[in-house]
Amino acid sequence: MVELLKINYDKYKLNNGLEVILYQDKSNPIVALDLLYNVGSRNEKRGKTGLAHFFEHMMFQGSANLEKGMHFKLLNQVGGVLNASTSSDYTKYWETVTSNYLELILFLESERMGNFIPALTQEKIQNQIDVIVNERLENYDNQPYGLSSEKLHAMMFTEDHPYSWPTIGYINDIKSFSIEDTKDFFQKYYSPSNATLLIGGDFEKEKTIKLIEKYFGEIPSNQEDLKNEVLVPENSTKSKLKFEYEDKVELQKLSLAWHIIKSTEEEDVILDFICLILTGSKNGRLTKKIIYQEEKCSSIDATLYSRKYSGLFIVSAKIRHEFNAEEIKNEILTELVIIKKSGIDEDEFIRALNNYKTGFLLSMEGISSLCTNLNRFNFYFNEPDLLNKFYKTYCGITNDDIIRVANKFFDDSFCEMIIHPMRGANE
Amino acid sequence: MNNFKITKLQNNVTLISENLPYVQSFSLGFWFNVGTRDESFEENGISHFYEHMLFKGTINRSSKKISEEIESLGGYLNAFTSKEQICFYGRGLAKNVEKTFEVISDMIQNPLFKETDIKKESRVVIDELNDINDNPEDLIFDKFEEVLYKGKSLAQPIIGREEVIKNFSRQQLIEFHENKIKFNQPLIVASGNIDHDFLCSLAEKYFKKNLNPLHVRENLILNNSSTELIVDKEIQQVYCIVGKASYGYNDERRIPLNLLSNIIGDGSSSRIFQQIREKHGIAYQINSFVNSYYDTSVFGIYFSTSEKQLDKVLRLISTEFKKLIDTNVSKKELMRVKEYIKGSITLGLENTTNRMIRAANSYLYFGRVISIDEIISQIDIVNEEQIQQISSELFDEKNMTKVIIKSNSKLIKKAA
Repeated sequence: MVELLKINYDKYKLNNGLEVILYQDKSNPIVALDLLYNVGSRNEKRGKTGLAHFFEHMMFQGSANLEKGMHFKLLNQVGGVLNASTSSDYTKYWETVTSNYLELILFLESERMGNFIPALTQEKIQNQIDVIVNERLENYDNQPYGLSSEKLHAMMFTEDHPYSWPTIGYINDIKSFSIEDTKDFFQKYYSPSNATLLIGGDFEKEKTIKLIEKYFGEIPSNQEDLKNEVLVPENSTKSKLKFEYEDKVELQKLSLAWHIIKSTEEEDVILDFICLILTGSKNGRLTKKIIYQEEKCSSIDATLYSRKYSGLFIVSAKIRHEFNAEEIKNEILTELVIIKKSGIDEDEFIRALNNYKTGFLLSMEGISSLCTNLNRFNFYFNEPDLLNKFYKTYCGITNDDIIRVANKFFDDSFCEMIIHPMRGANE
Repeated sequence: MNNFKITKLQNNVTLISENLPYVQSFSLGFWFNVGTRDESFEENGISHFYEHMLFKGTINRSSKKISEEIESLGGYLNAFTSKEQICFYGRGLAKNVEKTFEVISDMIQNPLFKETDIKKESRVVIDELNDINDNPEDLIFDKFEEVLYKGKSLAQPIIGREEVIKNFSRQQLIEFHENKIKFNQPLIVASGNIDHDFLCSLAEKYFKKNLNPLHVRENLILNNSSTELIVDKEIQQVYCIVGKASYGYNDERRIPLNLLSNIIGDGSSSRIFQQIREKHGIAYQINSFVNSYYDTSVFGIYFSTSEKQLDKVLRLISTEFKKLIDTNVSKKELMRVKEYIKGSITLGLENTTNRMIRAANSYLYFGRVISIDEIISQIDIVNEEQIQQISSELFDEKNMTKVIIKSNSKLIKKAA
């Protein structure tokens, strides 16, 4: 089996524990930095939900040698782009610039990793609390179906499970963040030994290794091993539940969700493959039937959310007015029963494989997205180049594998959530 | 950084392409210089509806076959309609470029427009319309242009109005096809691991007729006026755009206009982002935007905030406007935004679809593919006086348009 894309990378650690991955690609004069910290909302406690995401904002508020706003300004004035994101499992920061500005982005990331605490003030904390409250209202509370993920997770996990609360946090928790919370969080989780720095694109290797040592090598580390810090309580998932609520939306939305617990890498690949078979294209089984032939729904999506401690397999559909959630649920379940019994046919297999291959190559064409993928796989599997391996696994999937995995995970203990249009909301 | 080859074929098709040997894929677009602003009020939404209907089958292929032929190869077909163009495009692995070319050519030359499909599709488009109406972030941009260009076809929403969409007939679609598409040359643009001569041979093979040249636009006469629209919607936040109409693609001042927009509100080091989000913390999303058409651009500042902070945000924006009218920007600040824009252009070159769209827009608006180097030179020559001049015109608040979406419900206000 030929590799889709040659990904030669170097991986090593600095003395302070910072993991470094270098991936050289000189196709364009662009270089990307992706810095991943091994901390997400899973590391929070009830009462302080949203702290990891809050911290992502705080990292742009200045450090000992950079005033607030300078990180943006310095990057912008060389035409670079930047952003950050927080998930339940990790937090990451990235910058992309033309190759000649690599040293600048190394300086910017090392500066806030090494010198964040001295510049911290109560005023900055209050300011970002206000910003995040606005973010929550705008992106969740006032978005159509904006609370669906939060409500589904709250339903499917017990209160002590780290996936039961939303990454952005609850408003009252956000408002409670103090300077002590912020310092403690930084000192524990933003140590070099808890991060992976990935540089991808057009750079000179030897020079870059020296620059990384220069900017990051002296940053002190707590050397704390946080890999197994979060313990997921026993019996913290809930199944076979039904939940309904109203939202200011036009169409009813149904979500069916299965817990994916203790799956292997291979099983995750097969579940991902089943997503493609069900709704991955216009010819996906559910898409073709429910959207195009029967026209009962305006959209339908099957998605696998793989995460560190467990995953969710969710099928969601927006239902047209004349139809009801019960009949759509039955259609989805019927299709899964067929896959559990007979698997898929040859044409579907080839189509899904070709879709995966094209999607893979397109996602690899931009250096930023390539770096994001490499760092994500390194986080979850300790191996950046897992995409090629996944592709090989895809090619080796048999019908028996699909039947086996479908039978293992798609039992009748799924959770069902229905969002109803609020009466009078759009009149 | 411009390797585009342009060939005008005997059948009048113009083909533009660039070869990128380091990628394994391609992006291929078929463009028509026609869109929402070419529609009458009675047919508002037909361009977008037509775009949907082209995926419903041809005399040679059923709808199912169209998607299967491309998807079985791992490829992807899509389309979009703007107020000035319709584009059908495909992406995939380089070896499948001919199949994509053949299928799109068939779609745009031989559509069926079956009555049953028209009925079905009108429901799909009405669902799309409902999604826009559900989402204040989408709705406010449509409402803003509706007010800004009141009385002109440019004011109409791309998606159309429900009462029009549900009554589109086969005859209307056939007339649209015959008058706007079938006998008019498409502009075909490709970027990726492709060969220009091979694409030319495909264009000659799949387009036989002598086609009419590209549609040419005429200038719109526009006067800004002071207008305010408040839209009632049950939401906890307030959404607002404040802005006016300005220079379009056909005016060189569009480049300093973009720089000015960048100074005031585009990006995290812009003035209003720093003032309103970072200093006062009273909005999460706040940015300026320039949405350009041939002869006009929409300039605006978009934000959402709580109702009690609305006046404060507007006051702070007004202060920033005044500062830009009264005082020249510094050389340093102007240099920063120039580098920011130049960097964004360079970083955007990684994506083959971005490159394809950039080349097509350039040809449609300027009659040639302007090189990145030339764009950079145009940016470099802008000076502080030009920025000052545009600031005086743009930030004169006497002729500003403002649209606000907010709730009048007491219950919602209490919850917020």
